[in-house]
Amino acid sequence: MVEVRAEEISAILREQLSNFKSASELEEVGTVLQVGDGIARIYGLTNAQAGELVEFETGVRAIVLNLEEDNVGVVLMGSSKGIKEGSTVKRTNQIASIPVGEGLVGRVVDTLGKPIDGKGPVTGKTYELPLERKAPGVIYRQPVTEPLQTGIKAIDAMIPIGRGQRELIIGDRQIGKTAIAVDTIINQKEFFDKGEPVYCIYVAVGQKSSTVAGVAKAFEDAGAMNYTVIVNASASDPAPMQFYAPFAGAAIGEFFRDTGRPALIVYDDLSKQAVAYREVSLLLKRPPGREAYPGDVFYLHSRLLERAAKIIESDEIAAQMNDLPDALKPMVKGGGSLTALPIIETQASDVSAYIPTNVISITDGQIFLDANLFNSGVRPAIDVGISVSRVGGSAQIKSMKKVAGTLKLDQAQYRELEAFSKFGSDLDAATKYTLDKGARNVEILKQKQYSPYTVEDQIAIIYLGTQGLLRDVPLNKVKEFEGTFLTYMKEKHQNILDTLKAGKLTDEVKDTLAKVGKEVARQYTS
Amino acid sequence: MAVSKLGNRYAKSIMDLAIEQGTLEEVNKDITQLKEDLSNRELFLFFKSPIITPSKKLSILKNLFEGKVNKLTYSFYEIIVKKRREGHIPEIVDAFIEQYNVHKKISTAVVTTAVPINDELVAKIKGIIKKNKKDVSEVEIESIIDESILGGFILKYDDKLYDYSIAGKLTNLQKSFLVNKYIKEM
Repeated sequence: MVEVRAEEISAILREQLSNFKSASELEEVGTVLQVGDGIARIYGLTNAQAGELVEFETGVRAIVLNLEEDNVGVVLMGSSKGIKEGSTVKRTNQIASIPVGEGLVGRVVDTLGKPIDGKGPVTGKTYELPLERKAPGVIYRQPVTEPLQTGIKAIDAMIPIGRGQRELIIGDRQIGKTAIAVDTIINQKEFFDKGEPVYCIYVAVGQKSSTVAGVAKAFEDAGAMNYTVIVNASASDPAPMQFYAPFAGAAIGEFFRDTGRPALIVYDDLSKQAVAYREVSLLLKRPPGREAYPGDVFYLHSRLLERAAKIIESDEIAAQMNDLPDALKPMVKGGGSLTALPIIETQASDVSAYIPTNVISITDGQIFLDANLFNSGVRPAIDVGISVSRVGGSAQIKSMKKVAGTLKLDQAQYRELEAFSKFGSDLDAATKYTLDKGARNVEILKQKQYSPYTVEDQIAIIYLGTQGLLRDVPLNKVKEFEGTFLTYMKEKHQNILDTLKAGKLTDEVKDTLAKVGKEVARQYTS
Repeated sequence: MAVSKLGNRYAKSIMDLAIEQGTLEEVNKDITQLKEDLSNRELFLFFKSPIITPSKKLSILKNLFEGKVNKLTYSFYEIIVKKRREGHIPEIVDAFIEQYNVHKKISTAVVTTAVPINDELVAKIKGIIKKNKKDVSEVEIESIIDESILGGFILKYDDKLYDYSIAGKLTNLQKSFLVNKYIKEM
């Protein structure tokens, strides 16, 4: 706990007291008929709207989900302790919403926007934004064109992600799904330092608090908290808090998106969110469907992910966007984007389960992580063969596109030949060349956690790989070679790297890369 | 007051029939009487009990009510028992009273105070409710004395609540201090 100074306490108390209204207002109330399992049925509340917040005598809030003939079904956003049959519930006349503002950056909040990091109230002006909001319509969007650099070589080269895209990260437990998302957020520091921050929102749903604390620490150590908001609904929070957390995150993301700035949101993970939603749905007696999920679990995810978008550049058109909350209207700007990286956990690599197939079909591509690759030391364990990005190609910088154009095909070919080569030893020269190159490219694409690469470094090293310039470097020395090569490039040929970053791949650049590559390779040739 | 679907159905049937036969006032008197009787725990448990057979219940019912209540009311009780819904009589009674009040445009309000209130105040409250609510011919005030609200009053009618009690204000004040944003919760 933060040490609190004495004057601070009394100042807070005075502020709270001065805000305290003693005048009563007309309240619309209902009576609890039944409470249990995190839901309550209320008699009365005749004017309550779906999605409205109601408040119990204990101060616990709940969201209206079912409006029935003779009662109202609500889900509790807190403990049901102290709520009994006959308790009074009052309307708040407020649709479930979250206060969002610049002050949220660097904070950890819960689903209703309450800070839980112990750093005091959110500073600055906040705007009440609804959790549930319709996604922008077609005319307010534009195609994805700018890249969102993840800093991970395998992704930026072969499965590029654009700003405004939705790219699914899918795989079994414990093989680095969160690591990819966290690295991507950390990599945005480059843009923050440059003064063009990509605001990041990390939504943790149903995770162990220790894991979330670990992620928060990783962000802090990397200096990523300066542009990141964490929304946490841990495993011990009530199920409604868990399934609404991604919506709270999306509301925060939309604040940045609609004010003309790029944002990135990670939903970690949506399978747990679906489970929480299933729990609530079953308790509310909605009919179960496949795997006992309710019929609208697809809509749950599609309406959430549809909110990721690249907004049209024109301020005038953007200002007319559909379903804009009143609070946001005066500050809407065009050109913003919200990129979503949902995470789905599969059981025993089964991507044909209900939730994985749903989310795969909603998103614009997926990064598939494979347990066998992970165990054989390929980390990040991205299975290039079945990972795709449906819009990313147009969002790659030109130099990267040229260099990495054939990489994906080469690697697919290598994987196929690799399986064959296990049978016999007599291989023709062409096959051997493909195998050698492929094995070295695999080495190049390996990367440590928390160590994102800048785009120019990525292009430089991948250029050597795809051109077969590493032929003479032994496999186990490739990593070492990479380090030396990049240091050398940075020291002697910074201008070449700058050219690459600008998206140009001139003959001069190619020659220099080849020359330096050969020179450094000589040190490692045995 | 919580009213169930089942209660509403039974109550509506007798309401409609009573209005048709023009015996609404008598039926209402009988049912209001039954509500009072039900505060007798033994009668309440008698209706609820699954052990007593319907035929026995019917004969007890006959002894208790036949000739003392309106014929329509009596046959209504009989039907309830025959349909084996006698356990739901309290709900049906509540539903009937509510429907009767709606039909007669009577509005009921509950006033909770710490000290007894005088007639003048009651009249004033009636006036306020009549002014706020359209289509009301009469207002019934139920007065509850509850010292735990310390002072002021709580007025409740329909789904509306005015909380002007001291206790309510103190709870609100307490609630505003419940959240301490300087404590780490993760």
